[in-house]
Amino acid sequence: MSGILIVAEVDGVVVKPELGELVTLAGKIQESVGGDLVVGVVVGSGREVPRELEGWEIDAVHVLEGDGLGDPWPEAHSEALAQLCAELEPDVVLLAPTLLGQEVSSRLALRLNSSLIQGAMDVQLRDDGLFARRHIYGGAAVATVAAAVGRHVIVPRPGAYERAAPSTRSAIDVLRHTVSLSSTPKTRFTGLTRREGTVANIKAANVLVSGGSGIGGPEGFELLQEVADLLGGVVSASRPACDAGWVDSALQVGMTGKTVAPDLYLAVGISGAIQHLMGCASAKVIVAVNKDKDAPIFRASTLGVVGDWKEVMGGLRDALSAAAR
Amino acid sequence: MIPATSLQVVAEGPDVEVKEGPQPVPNGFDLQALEAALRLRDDHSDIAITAMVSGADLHEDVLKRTVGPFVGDIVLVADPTARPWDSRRTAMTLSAAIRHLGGADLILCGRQSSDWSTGLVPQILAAELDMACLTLVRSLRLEAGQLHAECLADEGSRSLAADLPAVVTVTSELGELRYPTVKERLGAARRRPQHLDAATLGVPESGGPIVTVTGIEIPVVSSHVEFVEAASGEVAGRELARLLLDRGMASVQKGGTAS
Repeated sequence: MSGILIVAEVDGVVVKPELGELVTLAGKIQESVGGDLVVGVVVGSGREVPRELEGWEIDAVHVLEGDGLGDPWPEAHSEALAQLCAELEPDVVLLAPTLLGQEVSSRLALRLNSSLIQGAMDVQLRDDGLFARRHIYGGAAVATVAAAVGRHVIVPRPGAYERAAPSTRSAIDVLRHTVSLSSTPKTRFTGLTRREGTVANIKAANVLVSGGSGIGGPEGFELLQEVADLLGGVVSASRPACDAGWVDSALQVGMTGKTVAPDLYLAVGISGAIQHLMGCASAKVIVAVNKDKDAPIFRASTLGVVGDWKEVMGGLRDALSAAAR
Repeated sequence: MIPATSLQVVAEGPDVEVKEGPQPVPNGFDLQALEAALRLRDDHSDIAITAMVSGADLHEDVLKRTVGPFVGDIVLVADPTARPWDSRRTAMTLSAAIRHLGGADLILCGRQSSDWSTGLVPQILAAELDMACLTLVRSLRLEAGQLHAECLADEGSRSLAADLPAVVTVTSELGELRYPTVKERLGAARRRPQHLDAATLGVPESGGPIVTVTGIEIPVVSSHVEFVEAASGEVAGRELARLLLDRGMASVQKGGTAS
Protein backbone atom coordinates (compact mmCIF):
# COMPACT_ATOMS: atom_id res chain seq x y z
CA MET A 1 0.00 0.00 0.00
CA SER A 2 0.96 3.61 -0.06
CA GLY A 3 -0.47 5.88 2.53
CA ILE A 4 -0.22 6.49 6.26
CA LEU A 5 0.39 4.03 9.07
CA ILE A 6 -0.65 5.26 12.50
CA VAL A 7 0.86 3.36 15.41
CA ALA A 8 -1.66 3.15 18.24
CA GLU A 9 -0.26 2.46 21.67
CA VAL A 10 -2.14 0.37 24.16
CA ASP A 11 -1.80 -0.05 27.89
CA GLY A 12 -3.22 -3.48 28.55
CA VAL A 13 -6.34 -3.42 26.40
CA VAL A 14 -6.86 0.33 26.58
CA VAL A 15 -5.85 2.52 23.64
CA LYS A 16 -3.83 5.54 24.74
CA PRO A 17 -5.58 8.86 24.01
CA GLU A 18 -2.69 10.18 21.88
CA LEU A 19 -4.25 8.19 19.03
CA GLY A 20 -6.68 11.08 18.57
CA GLU A 21 -3.81 13.50 17.91
CA LEU A 22 -2.30 11.16 15.34
CA VAL A 23 -5.64 10.81 13.55
CA THR A 24 -5.94 14.60 13.36
CA LEU A 25 -2.42 14.93 11.95
CA ALA A 26 -3.11 12.13 9.46
CA GLY A 27 -6.26 13.92 8.32
CA LYS A 28 -4.27 17.07 7.56
CA ILE A 29 -1.73 15.33 5.33
CA GLN A 30 -3.78 12.46 3.92
CA GLU A 31 -4.74 14.28 0.75
CA SER A 32 -1.09 14.99 -0.04
CA VAL A 33 0.05 11.48 0.81
CA GLY A 34 -2.78 9.59 -0.86
CA GLY A 35 -3.38 5.88 -0.35
CA ASP A 36 -4.84 4.20 2.68
CA LEU A 37 -4.98 5.22 6.30
CA VAL A 38 -4.34 2.24 8.54
CA VAL A 39 -3.61 1.70 12.22
CA GLY A 40 -0.99 -0.68 13.56
CA VAL A 41 -1.10 -1.84 17.15
CA VAL A 42 1.46 -3.98 18.97
CA VAL A 43 0.03 -6.37 21.57
CA GLY A 44 1.10 -9.46 23.48
CA SER A 45 0.28 -12.94 22.28
CA GLY A 46 -3.40 -13.81 22.43
CA ARG A 47 -4.48 -10.35 23.55
CA GLU A 48 -7.87 -8.98 22.53
CA VAL A 49 -8.00 -6.21 19.95
CA PRO A 50 -8.90 -3.04 21.86
CA ARG A 51 -12.53 -2.22 21.08
CA GLU A 52 -11.79 1.51 20.87
CA LEU A 53 -10.03 0.90 17.56
CA GLU A 54 -13.28 0.00 15.88
CA GLY A 55 -14.79 3.47 15.81
CA TRP A 56 -12.26 5.41 13.74
CA GLU A 57 -12.43 6.52 10.11
CA ILE A 58 -9.63 4.24 9.02
CA ASP A 59 -9.25 1.58 6.36
CA ALA A 60 -7.84 -1.26 8.44
CA VAL A 61 -6.31 -2.23 11.75
CA HIS A 62 -3.17 -4.36 11.72
CA VAL A 63 -2.65 -6.18 15.00
CA LEU A 64 0.93 -7.30 15.63
CA GLU A 65 1.08 -9.98 18.27
CA GLY A 66 3.90 -12.06 19.59
CA ASP A 67 5.89 -13.03 22.63
CA GLY A 68 7.24 -10.00 24.48
CA LEU A 69 5.21 -7.53 22.45
CA GLY A 70 2.81 -6.89 25.31
CA ASP A 71 5.60 -5.15 27.21
CA PRO A 72 6.85 -1.58 26.55
CA TRP A 73 10.04 -2.95 25.02
CA PRO A 74 11.32 -0.51 22.36
CA GLU A 75 13.60 -2.95 20.56
CA ALA A 76 10.85 -5.54 20.06
CA HIS A 77 8.19 -3.00 19.10
CA SER A 78 10.45 -1.36 16.53
CA GLU A 79 11.28 -4.69 14.92
CA ALA A 80 7.61 -5.71 14.78
CA LEU A 81 6.69 -2.38 13.19
CA ALA A 82 9.60 -2.60 10.77
CA GLN A 83 8.25 -5.95 9.63
CA LEU A 84 4.81 -4.42 9.11
CA CYS A 85 6.33 -1.51 7.18
CA ALA A 86 8.20 -3.95 4.95
CA GLU A 87 4.87 -5.52 4.09
CA LEU A 88 2.72 -2.39 3.78
CA GLU A 89 5.33 0.10 2.55
CA PRO A 90 3.61 3.17 3.99
CA ASP A 91 4.83 6.61 2.94
CA VAL A 92 4.36 8.07 6.40
CA VAL A 93 4.44 6.45 9.84
CA LEU A 94 2.99 8.39 12.76
CA LEU A 95 3.85 7.53 16.37
CA ALA A 96 2.49 8.91 19.62
CA PRO A 97 4.35 11.59 21.62
CA THR A 98 4.90 9.25 24.56
CA LEU A 99 8.16 7.94 25.98
CA LEU A 100 7.62 4.65 24.17
CA GLY A 101 6.61 6.40 20.96
CA GLN A 102 9.76 8.54 21.00
CA GLU A 103 11.96 5.53 21.63
CA VAL A 104 10.36 3.32 19.03
CA SER A 105 10.31 6.09 16.42
CA SER A 106 14.10 6.52 16.62
CA ARG A 107 14.75 2.81 16.26
CA LEU A 108 12.15 2.42 13.52
CA ALA A 109 13.51 5.32 11.46
CA LEU A 110 16.96 3.77 11.67
CA ARG A 111 15.68 0.38 10.53
CA LEU A 112 13.73 1.96 7.67
CA ASN A 113 16.49 4.44 6.78
CA SER A 114 13.77 7.06 6.74
CA SER A 115 13.60 10.62 7.91
CA LEU A 116 12.57 11.23 11.50
CA ILE A 117 10.96 14.36 12.86
CA GLN A 118 10.03 14.39 16.53
CA GLY A 119 8.13 17.19 18.22
CA ALA A 120 6.64 18.08 14.84
CA MET A 121 4.26 21.00 14.35
CA ASP A 122 2.65 22.38 11.20
CA VAL A 123 3.51 19.28 9.19
CA GLN A 124 3.14 19.70 5.44
CA LEU A 125 3.81 17.23 2.67
CA ARG A 126 4.62 18.88 -0.64
CA ASP A 127 5.94 17.72 -3.96
CA ASP A 128 9.46 18.56 -2.82
CA GLY A 129 9.28 16.70 0.49
CA LEU A 130 8.15 16.95 4.06
CA PHE A 131 8.26 20.21 5.97
CA ALA A 132 7.61 20.75 9.66
CA ARG A 133 8.47 23.07 12.50
CA ARG A 134 9.92 21.97 15.81
CA HIS A 135 11.19 23.60 18.95
CA ILE A 136 14.93 23.66 19.56
CA TYR A 137 17.09 24.96 22.40
CA GLY A 138 14.43 23.91 24.87
CA GLY A 139 11.81 26.02 23.17
CA ALA A 140 13.86 29.20 22.84
CA ALA A 141 13.78 28.90 19.06
CA VAL A 142 11.77 27.17 16.37
CA ALA A 143 13.39 25.45 13.41
CA THR A 144 11.78 24.69 10.09
CA VAL A 145 13.05 21.30 8.99
CA ALA A 146 12.70 19.51 5.69
CA ALA A 147 13.11 15.96 4.51
CA ALA A 148 13.41 14.99 0.88
CA VAL A 149 10.87 12.79 -0.81
CA GLY A 150 10.87 9.34 0.74
CA ARG A 151 9.48 7.58 3.76
CA HIS A 152 8.92 9.68 6.85
CA VAL A 153 8.54 8.80 10.52
CA ILE A 154 6.83 11.58 12.45
CA VAL A 155 6.11 12.12 16.14
CA PRO A 156 4.01 15.26 16.70
CA ARG A 157 4.65 17.67 19.53
CA PRO A 158 2.26 16.88 22.40
CA GLY A 159 -0.85 19.00 22.05
CA ALA A 160 0.11 20.34 18.61
CA TYR A 161 -2.89 18.58 17.11
CA GLU A 162 -6.37 18.37 18.60
CA ARG A 163 -7.52 14.97 19.69
CA ALA A 164 -10.03 13.62 17.21
CA ALA A 165 -12.82 11.46 18.55
CA PRO A 166 -13.90 8.14 17.09
CA SER A 167 -16.82 8.27 14.71
CA THR A 168 -19.62 5.76 14.64
CA ARG A 169 -18.13 3.75 11.81
CA SER A 170 -17.86 0.17 12.97
CA ALA A 171 -16.96 -2.17 10.11
CA ILE A 172 -13.17 -2.09 9.89
CA ASP A 173 -10.95 -4.86 8.61
CA VAL A 174 -8.87 -6.25 11.46
CA LEU A 175 -5.81 -8.13 10.21
CA ARG A 176 -3.80 -10.12 12.72
CA HIS A 177 -0.08 -10.73 12.22
CA THR A 178 1.95 -13.11 14.36
CA VAL A 179 5.41 -11.60 14.71
CA SER A 180 8.58 -13.56 15.31
CA LEU A 181 11.59 -11.46 16.12
CA SER A 182 13.94 -12.28 13.27
CA SER A 183 17.16 -11.59 15.07
CA THR A 184 18.27 -12.17 18.64
CA PRO A 185 17.42 -9.00 20.56
CA LYS A 186 20.40 -7.21 22.06
CA THR A 187 18.34 -6.13 25.07
CA ARG A 188 16.16 -8.21 27.40
CA PHE A 189 12.97 -6.93 28.97
CA THR A 190 12.95 -8.10 32.58
CA GLY A 191 10.01 -6.30 34.14
CA LEU A 192 7.62 -3.38 34.36
CA THR A 193 7.07 -1.52 37.62
CA ARG A 194 3.89 0.48 37.61
CA ARG A 195 3.61 3.57 39.76
CA GLU A 196 2.13 2.91 43.15
CA GLY A 197 -1.21 4.51 43.88
CA THR A 198 -2.96 6.95 41.61
CA VAL A 199 -0.97 9.69 39.97
CA ALA A 200 -3.02 12.65 38.75
CA ASN A 201 -3.34 13.11 35.01
CA ILE A 202 -1.85 16.58 34.67
CA LYS A 203 -2.51 16.68 30.93
CA ALA A 204 -6.27 16.47 31.56
CA ALA A 205 -6.42 18.97 34.44
CA ASN A 206 -8.03 22.40 33.97
CA VAL A 207 -6.08 23.88 36.85
CA LEU A 208 -2.49 23.04 37.74
CA VAL A 209 -0.70 24.27 40.84
CA SER A 210 2.92 23.64 40.04
CA GLY A 211 5.91 23.75 42.37
CA GLY A 212 9.59 24.15 41.63
CA SER A 213 12.91 24.09 43.41
CA GLY A 214 11.87 27.17 45.40
CA ILE A 215 9.43 25.02 47.36
CA GLY A 216 12.43 23.55 49.16
CA GLY A 217 11.20 20.04 49.87
CA PRO A 218 8.34 17.57 49.59
CA GLU A 219 6.46 18.94 52.59
CA GLY A 220 5.89 22.25 50.79
CA PHE A 221 3.76 20.48 48.22
CA GLU A 222 1.10 19.88 50.90
CA LEU A 223 0.15 23.56 50.79
CA LEU A 224 0.10 23.48 46.99
CA GLN A 225 -2.20 20.46 47.19
CA GLU A 226 -4.56 22.37 49.49
CA VAL A 227 -4.81 25.22 46.97
CA ALA A 228 -5.23 22.76 44.10
CA ASP A 229 -8.08 21.05 45.95
CA LEU A 230 -9.86 24.36 46.47
CA LEU A 231 -9.54 25.22 42.78
CA GLY A 232 -10.54 21.77 41.57
CA GLY A 233 -7.09 21.22 40.16
CA VAL A 234 -4.08 19.00 40.65
CA VAL A 235 -0.46 19.49 41.60
CA SER A 236 2.38 19.38 39.09
CA ALA A 237 6.06 20.26 39.27
CA SER A 238 9.16 21.41 37.47
CA ARG A 239 12.08 19.12 36.66
CA PRO A 240 14.27 20.02 39.67
CA ALA A 241 11.46 19.14 42.07
CA CYS A 242 10.95 15.80 40.34
CA ASP A 243 14.64 15.04 40.06
CA ALA A 244 14.98 15.70 43.79
CA GLY A 245 12.31 13.07 44.40
CA TRP A 246 9.87 15.50 46.06
CA VAL A 247 7.04 14.44 43.72
CA ASP A 248 6.48 11.70 41.17
CA SER A 249 8.14 12.31 37.81
CA ALA A 250 4.75 11.68 36.15
CA LEU A 251 3.80 15.15 37.42
CA GLN A 252 6.69 16.89 35.64
CA VAL A 253 5.90 19.74 33.25
CA GLY A 254 8.47 20.74 30.65
CA MET A 255 10.66 19.61 27.81
CA THR A 256 11.49 16.24 29.36
CA GLY A 257 8.16 16.03 31.16
CA LYS A 258 4.66 16.67 29.92
CA THR A 259 3.23 19.45 27.79
CA VAL A 260 0.07 20.82 29.39
CA ALA A 261 -2.60 23.31 28.40
CA PRO A 262 -4.78 24.03 31.45
CA ASP A 263 -7.08 27.04 31.87
CA LEU A 264 -4.94 28.17 34.83
CA TYR A 265 -1.30 27.35 35.54
CA LEU A 266 -0.11 28.58 38.91
CA ALA A 267 3.69 28.43 39.00
CA VAL A 268 5.08 28.59 42.52
CA GLY A 269 8.81 28.78 43.19
CA ILE A 270 9.52 28.09 39.54
CA SER A 271 12.07 30.35 37.88
CA GLY A 272 10.72 29.68 34.40
CA ALA A 273 13.60 28.14 32.51
CA ILE A 274 12.88 27.88 28.82
CA GLN A 275 12.64 24.12 29.09
CA HIS A 276 9.84 24.50 31.65
CA LEU A 277 7.98 27.18 29.72
CA MET A 278 7.97 24.86 26.73
CA GLY A 279 5.70 22.58 28.70
CA CYS A 280 3.25 25.14 30.07
CA ALA A 281 3.20 27.93 27.46
CA SER A 282 -0.14 26.72 26.10
CA ALA A 283 -1.94 27.46 29.38
CA LYS A 284 -4.68 30.07 28.98
CA VAL A 285 -3.52 31.96 32.06
CA ILE A 286 -0.18 31.66 33.85
CA VAL A 287 0.14 33.10 37.34
CA ALA A 288 3.56 33.15 38.97
CA VAL A 289 4.67 33.43 42.58
CA ASN A 290 8.39 33.92 43.01
CA LYS A 291 10.73 35.82 45.28
CA ASP A 292 12.86 37.00 42.34
CA LYS A 293 11.18 39.80 40.44
CA ASP A 294 13.45 39.13 37.46
CA ALA A 295 12.54 35.45 37.21
CA PRO A 296 11.77 34.56 33.57
CA ILE A 297 8.44 33.00 34.58
CA PHE A 298 7.00 36.51 35.02
CA ARG A 299 7.59 37.29 31.34
CA ALA A 300 5.16 34.53 30.43
CA SER A 301 2.63 35.37 33.13
CA THR A 302 -0.63 37.31 33.24
CA LEU A 303 -0.49 37.86 36.99
CA GLY A 304 2.53 37.78 39.26
CA VAL A 305 3.36 38.07 42.92
CA VAL A 306 6.88 38.78 44.12
CA GLY A 307 7.31 37.41 47.59
CA ASP A 308 7.72 34.48 49.93
CA TRP A 309 5.73 31.66 48.40
CA LYS A 310 4.60 30.25 51.75
CA GLU A 311 3.08 33.56 52.80
CA VAL A 312 1.47 34.19 49.42
CA MET A 313 0.06 30.69 49.04
CA GLY A 314 -1.13 30.70 52.65
CA GLY A 315 -3.07 33.90 52.01
CA LEU A 316 -4.39 32.51 48.73
CA ARG A 317 -5.53 29.30 50.43
CA ASP A 318 -7.29 31.14 53.25
CA ALA A 319 -9.12 33.47 50.85
CA LEU A 320 -10.18 30.63 48.57
CA SER A 321 -11.26 28.59 51.57
CA ALA A 322 -13.42 31.46 52.79
CA ALA A 323 -14.95 31.86 49.33
CA ALA A 324 -15.75 28.17 49.22
CA ARG A 325 -17.86 28.27 52.36
CA MET B 1 26.54 23.94 23.37
CA ILE B 2 25.54 27.57 23.43
CA PRO B 3 23.23 28.59 26.29
CA ALA B 4 19.71 29.20 25.02
CA THR B 5 19.67 32.63 26.61
CA SER B 6 22.35 33.83 24.19
CA LEU B 7 20.62 32.74 21.02
CA GLN B 8 20.55 35.19 18.18
CA VAL B 9 19.89 34.16 14.64
CA VAL B 10 22.37 35.96 12.44
CA ALA B 11 21.54 34.45 9.09
CA GLU B 12 18.53 32.98 7.37
CA GLY B 13 18.23 29.87 5.31
CA PRO B 14 20.13 26.61 5.32
CA ASP B 15 23.33 28.15 6.67
CA VAL B 16 21.76 29.40 9.84
CA GLU B 17 24.19 30.40 12.53
CA VAL B 18 23.63 31.20 16.11
CA LYS B 19 25.59 34.11 17.45
CA GLU B 20 27.70 33.13 20.39
CA GLY B 21 27.22 35.06 23.58
CA PRO B 22 28.35 33.85 27.00
CA GLN B 23 30.75 30.95 27.34
CA PRO B 24 29.36 27.66 26.04
CA VAL B 25 28.15 25.07 28.51
CA PRO B 26 28.19 21.27 28.32
CA ASN B 27 24.97 19.46 27.57
CA GLY B 28 23.49 18.92 31.03
CA PHE B 29 22.22 15.48 30.12
CA ASP B 30 25.77 14.42 29.21
CA LEU B 31 26.99 15.43 32.66
CA GLN B 32 24.40 13.09 34.15
CA ALA B 33 25.80 10.35 31.92
CA LEU B 34 29.20 11.11 33.42
CA GLU B 35 27.72 10.74 36.89
CA ALA B 36 26.39 7.32 35.86
CA ALA B 37 29.91 6.34 34.81
CA LEU B 38 31.32 7.56 38.12
CA ARG B 39 28.80 5.51 40.07
CA LEU B 40 29.82 2.41 38.15
CA ARG B 41 33.46 3.22 38.90
CA ASP B 42 32.58 3.62 42.59
CA ASP B 43 31.53 -0.04 42.52
CA HIS B 44 34.15 -1.29 40.07
CA SER B 45 37.48 0.42 40.64
CA ASP B 46 39.06 -1.05 37.51
CA ILE B 47 36.82 0.99 35.21
CA ALA B 48 38.65 3.61 33.15
CA ILE B 49 36.55 6.55 31.97
CA THR B 50 37.25 8.50 28.78
CA ALA B 51 35.27 11.59 27.78
CA MET B 52 34.82 12.09 24.05
CA VAL B 53 33.29 14.96 22.16
CA SER B 54 33.03 15.72 18.46
CA GLY B 55 31.89 18.73 16.51
CA ALA B 56 32.90 21.85 14.71
CA ASP B 57 33.51 23.81 17.92
CA LEU B 58 35.04 21.73 20.67
CA HIS B 59 35.47 24.25 23.50
CA GLU B 60 38.43 22.48 25.08
CA ASP B 61 38.61 24.75 28.10
CA VAL B 62 34.98 24.13 29.02
CA LEU B 63 35.50 20.38 28.83
CA LYS B 64 38.71 20.45 30.84
CA ARG B 65 36.99 22.40 33.57
CA THR B 66 33.70 20.48 33.77
CA VAL B 67 34.56 16.95 32.75
CA GLY B 68 38.30 16.91 33.27
CA PRO B 69 38.26 16.42 37.05
CA PHE B 70 36.53 13.07 36.75
CA VAL B 71 37.94 11.24 33.73
CA GLY B 72 41.19 9.57 32.76
CA ASP B 73 41.31 10.94 29.24
CA ILE B 74 39.59 13.56 27.14
CA VAL B 75 39.37 12.98 23.39
CA LEU B 76 38.38 15.84 21.11
CA VAL B 77 37.36 14.89 17.59
CA ALA B 78 37.35 17.87 15.27
CA ASP B 79 34.78 17.75 12.48
CA PRO B 80 34.46 21.11 10.75
CA THR B 81 31.56 19.84 8.64
CA ALA B 82 29.45 18.81 11.63
CA ARG B 83 26.09 20.45 12.12
CA PRO B 84 24.21 20.17 15.43
CA TRP B 85 21.15 18.70 13.70
CA ASP B 86 23.08 16.08 11.71
CA SER B 87 22.85 13.18 14.15
CA ARG B 88 24.07 10.69 11.57
CA ARG B 89 27.29 12.59 10.89
CA THR B 90 27.96 13.02 14.62
CA ALA B 91 27.41 9.32 15.30
CA MET B 92 29.62 8.28 12.39
CA THR B 93 32.44 10.50 13.61
CA LEU B 94 32.16 9.25 17.18
CA SER B 95 32.04 5.62 16.10
CA ALA B 96 35.14 6.07 13.93
CA ALA B 97 37.01 7.63 16.85
CA ILE B 98 35.91 4.88 19.25
CA ARG B 99 37.11 2.22 16.81
CA HIS B 100 40.38 4.11 16.37
CA LEU B 101 40.97 3.99 20.12
CA GLY B 102 40.32 0.25 20.29
CA GLY B 103 36.63 0.24 21.17
CA ALA B 104 34.71 0.65 24.40
CA ASP B 105 32.81 -1.69 26.68
CA LEU B 106 30.19 0.86 27.59
CA ILE B 107 29.25 4.16 25.97
CA LEU B 108 27.19 6.49 28.15
CA CYS B 109 25.36 9.46 26.65
CA GLY B 110 22.81 11.99 27.84
CA ARG B 111 19.23 11.15 26.91
CA GLN B 112 19.22 13.94 24.32
CA SER B 113 21.05 17.08 23.37
CA SER B 114 19.84 20.21 25.08
CA ASP B 115 19.89 22.15 21.83
CA TRP B 116 18.27 19.96 19.15
CA SER B 117 16.76 17.44 21.59
CA THR B 118 16.87 14.57 19.14
CA GLY B 119 18.37 11.75 21.22
CA LEU B 120 19.21 10.03 17.97
CA VAL B 121 23.03 9.96 18.12
CA PRO B 122 23.23 7.14 20.70
CA GLN B 123 20.84 4.99 18.68
CA ILE B 124 22.87 5.42 15.49
CA LEU B 125 26.09 4.92 17.43
CA ALA B 126 24.81 1.60 18.77
CA ALA B 127 23.83 0.51 15.27
CA GLU B 128 27.20 1.56 13.82
CA LEU B 129 29.10 -0.33 16.51
CA ASP B 130 26.66 -3.27 16.63
CA MET B 131 25.97 -2.73 20.32
CA ALA B 132 22.89 -3.01 22.49
CA CYS B 133 21.18 0.29 23.25
CA LEU B 134 19.44 0.95 26.57
CA THR B 135 17.61 4.25 26.70
CA LEU B 136 16.20 6.64 29.31
CA VAL B 137 18.13 4.94 32.09
CA ARG B 138 17.71 6.30 35.59
CA SER B 139 19.74 3.70 37.43
CA LEU B 140 22.35 1.27 36.23
CA ARG B 141 24.12 -1.76 37.67
CA LEU B 142 26.95 -3.82 36.22
CA GLU B 143 27.11 -7.44 37.34
CA ALA B 144 29.23 -10.17 35.77
CA GLY B 145 29.53 -8.31 32.50
CA GLN B 146 25.80 -7.66 32.27
CA LEU B 147 24.08 -4.33 32.51
CA HIS B 148 20.85 -4.07 34.48
CA ALA B 149 19.00 -0.83 33.91
CA GLU B 150 15.91 0.78 35.29
CA CYS B 151 14.47 2.96 32.55
CA LEU B 152 11.74 5.56 32.43
CA ALA B 153 8.44 4.32 31.04
CA ASP B 154 5.06 5.91 30.58
CA GLU B 155 3.63 3.50 33.15
CA GLY B 156 6.43 3.93 35.72
CA SER B 157 9.69 2.18 35.00
CA ARG B 158 10.82 -0.77 32.96
CA SER B 159 13.75 -3.03 33.70
CA LEU B 160 16.04 -4.07 30.89
CA ALA B 161 19.28 -6.02 30.72
CA ALA B 162 21.99 -6.31 28.10
CA ASP B 163 25.40 -7.81 27.65
CA LEU B 164 28.41 -5.57 27.13
CA PRO B 165 29.34 -3.82 24.96
CA ALA B 166 26.44 -1.43 25.03
CA VAL B 167 25.30 2.15 24.56
CA VAL B 168 23.26 3.67 27.40
CA THR B 169 21.40 6.96 27.48
CA VAL B 170 20.93 8.52 30.90
CA THR B 171 18.00 10.61 32.01
CA SER B 172 17.97 13.41 34.58
CA GLU B 173 16.28 11.25 37.23
CA LEU B 174 19.66 9.56 37.76
CA GLY B 175 20.90 12.71 39.49
CA GLU B 176 23.27 15.61 39.04
CA LEU B 177 27.00 15.32 38.49
CA ARG B 178 28.86 15.33 41.78
CA TYR B 179 31.23 18.15 42.77
CA PRO B 180 34.94 17.56 42.17
CA THR B 181 37.46 17.49 44.97
CA VAL B 182 40.32 19.99 45.06
CA LYS B 183 42.74 17.24 44.04
CA GLU B 184 40.53 16.34 41.07
CA ARG B 185 40.33 20.00 40.01
CA LEU B 186 44.09 20.40 40.12
CA GLY B 187 44.51 17.24 38.09
CA ALA B 188 42.13 18.54 35.46
CA ALA B 189 44.16 21.71 34.96
CA ARG B 190 47.20 19.63 33.98
CA ARG B 191 45.32 17.29 31.70
CA ARG B 192 46.23 17.28 28.00
CA PRO B 193 43.34 16.19 25.79
CA GLN B 194 43.96 13.94 22.80
CA HIS B 195 43.08 15.54 19.48
CA LEU B 196 41.67 13.59 16.53
CA ASP B 197 39.93 14.78 13.43
CA ALA B 198 37.23 13.26 11.26
CA ALA B 199 39.21 13.52 8.05
CA THR B 200 42.20 11.59 9.41
CA LEU B 201 39.86 8.98 10.87
CA GLY B 202 38.46 8.46 7.40
CA VAL B 203 34.89 9.30 8.32
CA PRO B 204 33.02 8.91 5.05
CA GLU B 205 30.78 11.61 3.72
CA SER B 206 27.32 10.81 5.01
CA GLY B 207 25.63 12.34 1.99
CA GLY B 208 24.22 15.00 4.25
CA PRO B 209 21.57 14.68 6.88
CA ILE B 210 18.24 13.10 5.97
CA VAL B 211 16.55 16.01 7.65
CA THR B 212 17.85 19.48 6.89
CA VAL B 213 17.13 22.86 8.43
CA THR B 214 15.70 25.57 6.23
CA GLY B 215 15.27 28.27 8.83
CA ILE B 216 15.33 29.19 12.48
CA GLU B 217 13.27 31.82 14.22
CA ILE B 218 13.20 33.02 17.77
CA PRO B 219 9.63 33.67 18.91
CA VAL B 220 9.05 37.11 20.29
CA VAL B 221 7.57 36.91 23.77
CA SER B 222 5.71 40.03 24.81
CA SER B 223 5.36 40.44 28.54
CA HIS B 224 2.23 41.96 30.03
CA VAL B 225 2.46 40.71 33.57
CA GLU B 226 0.41 42.54 36.17
CA PHE B 227 2.12 42.40 39.54
CA VAL B 228 -0.01 42.09 42.64
CA GLU B 229 1.49 44.34 45.26
CA ALA B 230 0.55 44.39 48.91
CA ALA B 231 1.95 45.09 52.36
CA SER B 232 2.77 41.43 52.95
CA GLY B 233 2.89 38.15 51.12
CA GLU B 234 -0.18 36.93 52.95
CA VAL B 235 -2.20 39.99 51.88
CA ALA B 236 -0.89 39.63 48.32
CA GLY B 237 -2.12 36.04 48.34
CA ARG B 238 -5.58 37.17 49.39
CA GLU B 239 -5.59 39.84 46.69
CA LEU B 240 -4.50 37.26 44.15
CA ALA B 241 -7.46 35.10 45.13
CA ARG B 242 -9.81 38.03 44.61
CA LEU B 243 -8.40 38.81 41.16
CA LEU B 244 -8.56 35.18 40.04
CA LEU B 245 -12.20 34.84 41.11
CA ASP B 246 -13.40 38.28 39.98
CA ARG B 247 -11.85 37.91 36.54
CA GLY B 248 -13.16 34.41 36.02
CA MET B 249 -9.68 32.93 35.81
CA ALA B 250 -10.55 30.39 38.50
CA SER B 251 -13.46 29.19 40.54
CA VAL B 252 -13.55 27.55 43.94
CA GLN B 253 -15.09 24.22 44.70
CA LYS B 254 -18.16 25.31 46.68
CA GLY B 255 -18.28 23.64 50.05
CA GLY B 256 -14.70 22.53 49.51
CA THR B 257 -12.02 22.93 52.08
CA ALA B 258 -8.31 22.65 52.01
CA SER B 259 -7.38 19.01 52.48
